[in-house]
Amino acid sequence: MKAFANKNATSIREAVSLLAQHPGKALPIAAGSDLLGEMKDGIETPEVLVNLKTIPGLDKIRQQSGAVSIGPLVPVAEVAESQLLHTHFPAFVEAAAVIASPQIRNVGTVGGNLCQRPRCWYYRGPFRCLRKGGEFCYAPMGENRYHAILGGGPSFIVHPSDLAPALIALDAKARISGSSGDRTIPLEQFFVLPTVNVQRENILRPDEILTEILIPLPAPGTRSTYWKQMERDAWDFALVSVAAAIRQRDGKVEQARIVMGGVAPIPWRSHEAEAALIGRPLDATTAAQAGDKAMEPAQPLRDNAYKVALSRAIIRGALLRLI
Amino acid sequence: MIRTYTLTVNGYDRAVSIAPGEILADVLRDKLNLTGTKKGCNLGDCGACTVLVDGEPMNSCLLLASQMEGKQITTIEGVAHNGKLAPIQKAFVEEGAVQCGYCTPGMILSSVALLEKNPRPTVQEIKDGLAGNLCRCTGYTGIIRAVQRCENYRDDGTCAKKEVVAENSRFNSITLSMPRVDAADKVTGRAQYTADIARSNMIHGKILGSPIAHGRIKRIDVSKAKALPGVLAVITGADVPDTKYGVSPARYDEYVLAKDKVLHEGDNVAAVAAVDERTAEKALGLIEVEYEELPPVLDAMEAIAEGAPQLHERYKRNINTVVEQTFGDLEKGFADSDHIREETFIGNNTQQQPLEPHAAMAYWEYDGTLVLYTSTQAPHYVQYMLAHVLHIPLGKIRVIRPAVGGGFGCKAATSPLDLCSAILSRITGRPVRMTFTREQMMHYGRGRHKQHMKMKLGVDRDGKIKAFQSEIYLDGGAYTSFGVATAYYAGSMMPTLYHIPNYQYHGYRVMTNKPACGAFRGHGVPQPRFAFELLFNMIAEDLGIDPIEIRLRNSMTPNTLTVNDLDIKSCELTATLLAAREKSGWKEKFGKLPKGRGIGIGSGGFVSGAGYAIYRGQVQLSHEKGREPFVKKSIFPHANAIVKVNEDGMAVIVMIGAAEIGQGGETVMVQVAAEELGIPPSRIRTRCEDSDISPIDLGAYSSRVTLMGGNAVKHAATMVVEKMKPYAAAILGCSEGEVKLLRDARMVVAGDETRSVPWEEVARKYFNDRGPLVGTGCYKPPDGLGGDFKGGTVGTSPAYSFGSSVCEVSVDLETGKVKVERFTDFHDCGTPINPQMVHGQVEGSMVMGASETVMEDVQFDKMGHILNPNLHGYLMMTIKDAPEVFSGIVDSYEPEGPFGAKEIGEGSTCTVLAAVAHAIANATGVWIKELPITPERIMNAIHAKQSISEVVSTPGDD
Repeated sequence: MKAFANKNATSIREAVSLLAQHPGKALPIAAGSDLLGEMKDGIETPEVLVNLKTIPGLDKIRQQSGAVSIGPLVPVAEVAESQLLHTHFPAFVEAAAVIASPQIRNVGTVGGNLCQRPRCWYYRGPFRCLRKGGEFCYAPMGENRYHAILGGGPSFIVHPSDLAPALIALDAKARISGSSGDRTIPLEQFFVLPTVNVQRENILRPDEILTEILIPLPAPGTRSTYWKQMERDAWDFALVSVAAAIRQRDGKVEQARIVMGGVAPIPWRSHEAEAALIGRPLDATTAAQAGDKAMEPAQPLRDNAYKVALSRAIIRGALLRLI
Repeated sequence: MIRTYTLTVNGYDRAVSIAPGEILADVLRDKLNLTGTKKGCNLGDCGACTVLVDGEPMNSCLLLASQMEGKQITTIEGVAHNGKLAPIQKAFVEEGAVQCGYCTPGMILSSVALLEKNPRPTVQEIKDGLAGNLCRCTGYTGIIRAVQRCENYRDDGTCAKKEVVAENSRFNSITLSMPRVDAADKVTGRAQYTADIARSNMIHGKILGSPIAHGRIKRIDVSKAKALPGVLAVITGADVPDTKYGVSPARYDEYVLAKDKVLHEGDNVAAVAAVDERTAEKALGLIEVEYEELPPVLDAMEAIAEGAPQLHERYKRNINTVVEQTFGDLEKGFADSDHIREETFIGNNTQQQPLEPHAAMAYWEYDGTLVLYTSTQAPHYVQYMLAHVLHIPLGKIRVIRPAVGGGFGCKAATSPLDLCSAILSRITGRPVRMTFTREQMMHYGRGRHKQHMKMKLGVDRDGKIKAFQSEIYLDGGAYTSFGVATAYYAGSMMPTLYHIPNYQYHGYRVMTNKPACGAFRGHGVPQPRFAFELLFNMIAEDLGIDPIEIRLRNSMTPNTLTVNDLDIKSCELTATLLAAREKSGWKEKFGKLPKGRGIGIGSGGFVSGAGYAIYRGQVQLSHEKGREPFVKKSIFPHANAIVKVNEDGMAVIVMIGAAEIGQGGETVMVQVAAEELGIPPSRIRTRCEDSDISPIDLGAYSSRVTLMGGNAVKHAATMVVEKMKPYAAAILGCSEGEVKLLRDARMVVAGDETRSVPWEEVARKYFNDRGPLVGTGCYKPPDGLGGDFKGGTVGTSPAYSFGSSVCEVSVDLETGKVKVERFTDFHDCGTPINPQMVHGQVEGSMVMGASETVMEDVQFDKMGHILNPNLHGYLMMTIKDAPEVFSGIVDSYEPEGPFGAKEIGEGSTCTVLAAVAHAIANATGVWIKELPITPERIMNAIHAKQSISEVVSTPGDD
């Protein structure tokens, strides 16, 4: 690992100003579960690490009127064990519970999970790929069984976060703080396709950090769930995952948010699947139709067509859990 | 930048100087000397480095030490108190939860955290709690048992359960499920592995690997690396001997460092020694290498084509080994067959992935003796190979094998670390320690050959085998290593399970620009066995015969010379089939399960030690002499032991170079010695690790330690007893012939057991009169093993193991996800010296084999780069994936084995792949003939079948 200087930030303001002082050379670090691995592999070589863990108050779960606020430094394990969150946001808790390993959940944070970098083996390996400033993405012509079937091009990574699909399905908002001020945006807009920025997965500028996640309390009749399909039963990234939040009234779906992980460079919200459900009863037929609709725009690469069938199956499976 | 921090470790404040980038695992190990915290992957994937931080398990390899101030850190060294094991540690010792011990500290710390919150966890809760700790040995079964039963163990180390006794009342120490002799060291972090050992003034070495898979080295410039402060030596191909090395003497084709060409990604190009690891790593980055890139060839079938890129000049069309053997009359056999089926199967390139990465530490004594500590399965072959490459007498090399964190075959050959550390130490005059990263381990390879297998089997209408033909292309990677033997084993072991009257095997080992493949648990056999067993099941289905029934009709019988001249003595394959059928409820399940659930069968077996040593001739310097002509007998004994009785008669030291690599070899040696000497195992210690102390044993490969090492120890112990008898007679006042050895540390007068003398008193008397009481023993395999044809030696053995596994799976037909639910396995391992350890081997084999079948594969890109060189990309089963295992042992007695014992560790792997694949076929209705059977392959196969049936079905069928 290359040598770096460690700066302990004691406030959000200090953190963003430290980042601003070292443009392009400083990175924020929370638990570092992902970043330290990247640094060991030589993918990231920051000269300065701005330690966010020393900022007080960012590791709290707070109930507010109409919403729950999650500090970005809340460990994933705390989400997985939270009764409060489980009552209101089952999809969020279910997603937290299947992340990585107990050890990593104890350390890794909500913010870190949302901001983690792709697991693409070209990105993580000794390849100067598009995402690392290279000329092209290796996936289309290379080994692409784990790559994007939706939203791909020019980069075909898939977003690895489990919490992101769940939180987007739950209509969460993200507060971003930077040296030029704060802004709050729907979490859905936090992530960007490679057509927008081929080197980053989100809109954070180098001097910005994620400072809060706000999840609105769901309207009565809302149910949510998260289904993660892995190759092995623990410590694995999703082949495909789906978060679904459905509000039903009088036997009909009134609102639906369906967001997939592992299929696209961003957490992929399927408006097609949602539209297939709205105004109709949720049953085996509509659940299957939602899966089919979600996959209509899919454009698999040579080796990942199985993910299309897999996605259909787990969208249907997840929706059936919510009947 | 460097600052002093106060870390609270195991209850004490420790002031440590820490630089910003320093990782907690390194600080604990290197600065606080708490080496019980193990490094297995350095990326948070394996859990070996788990520590508790404020009571919560965390990967210490992913924590910055500078962020740990004010937190309570607990390492494995902090779990036991005042020399007393904590209940969970005691449970791990007693319940068989420890094998190689490398995952054990992390596993125990995760268990401590779990039990703190939940003292009586369910199996599911245990699996959730330990999901971040990989284990490659135990199959997790013993670990789950230990956590479940932890509450039976008290703080004082006692247990509520009854004491273990020998299962067979003829014995005292044989068939006794005593805890492993090294278990207590392994649960406390006291066990020292090679990377834990430091010497004063020690420096650190690192190897630079090639970034490309095939190329010529045009220029290397090490001047910048040499100029870096702290760098003490930099070597390249020009600085190492011209002598090539390897495993098979006919095919030594590796240089210590590349002389001219690099043949796979990670091939060794240069090595450095520096004052610390960081400096060494930095120096690697300063070495400038210019390559002329050559096109790589990565597929065995492409590599043999005319015009394909050539790796080695001497292997034309990249064919490294050719085996062409025919036994009986193949044509007639097929002509006599009522049913013939031919199928092609493809295996996978899996790697052993022991939790401990390879490591070595070398220094030179003042008199020119080289001392090498190394994580090896075969210390003698390392010694032999060092002598060969460095041109020094074997006697001037002392190899020390500390605790080894698993091997499964990847530590059976001499590693570049062994050679480079010795060379760098000679240059610098200082001890040099080197370790592989997980990535380097995967580039070094020596995993399972991916085999392309075309098999044709002919049977009569009752399913009796008439003829079998097998053509196999083995993808060998860039070097030979064990590969010649692998190519032979892939054929020779096939006729050991069933009576095959006519047999042809053509095997071709092919070189490709990938890491060399070698001997992986079951050496060459698991994939062809998978293919054969699956083909056998297909044929059974074709004929409407139950798959277990078809095996019973062909099952090997004792005292048979196979068609390829392998001499089988004890054999209880039939008993294993019958027991597995009964216990698994096969008849109620096979063909009767709902869609998505399946049951399958596979049989297998292996040698109990190779009949011949790897090199021919005597133990001597090999490069100075031509190869000696082959004779069909062992020149020197394969296993050699000294049993020395302590002067007070109260302790016995067993010295034998047999390698303990986690399989339990040392415990077996203790039990054999105890039984033969008539004293309790608690009075016996082993000294197996040091070639200066313990005589040659060829090592832990080909499942040879129990049978060969056990025989040598038994003979040495017999000599001790014989030497004691005249002294006992003198004390007892009887004739020597009347002295009888009892099993409770007494010698008595035969016929009048009231006239007795304590064992130790006789031993003391001997010492007082004659000096040291020492016995020696050795074991040579029987002369004349094997047929008189090329390759007739490979597959020979004093004895063979047999077993059958029934596997049950469920498959989600929508997602292709397989859950391997359960194994019911019965094995013929002869007399089980330690039944708990036998079950431990089986449990580990089942899970490893199942893991290989459904998820493991080294994946390459088109240029030969490994795409998954880590343990989150190379998937192997976690505790949550692991199936339940029932392991049973059938009655058997092997006349060649010590007290009737033979092997278990490898034969038990050979049954598994086919059993799982068959169960998946049974659940899904599709035969998948390529490994691993991933969700992707299952879904593709199901969809292919559906589209075929859509095409062939006519409208209106429904």
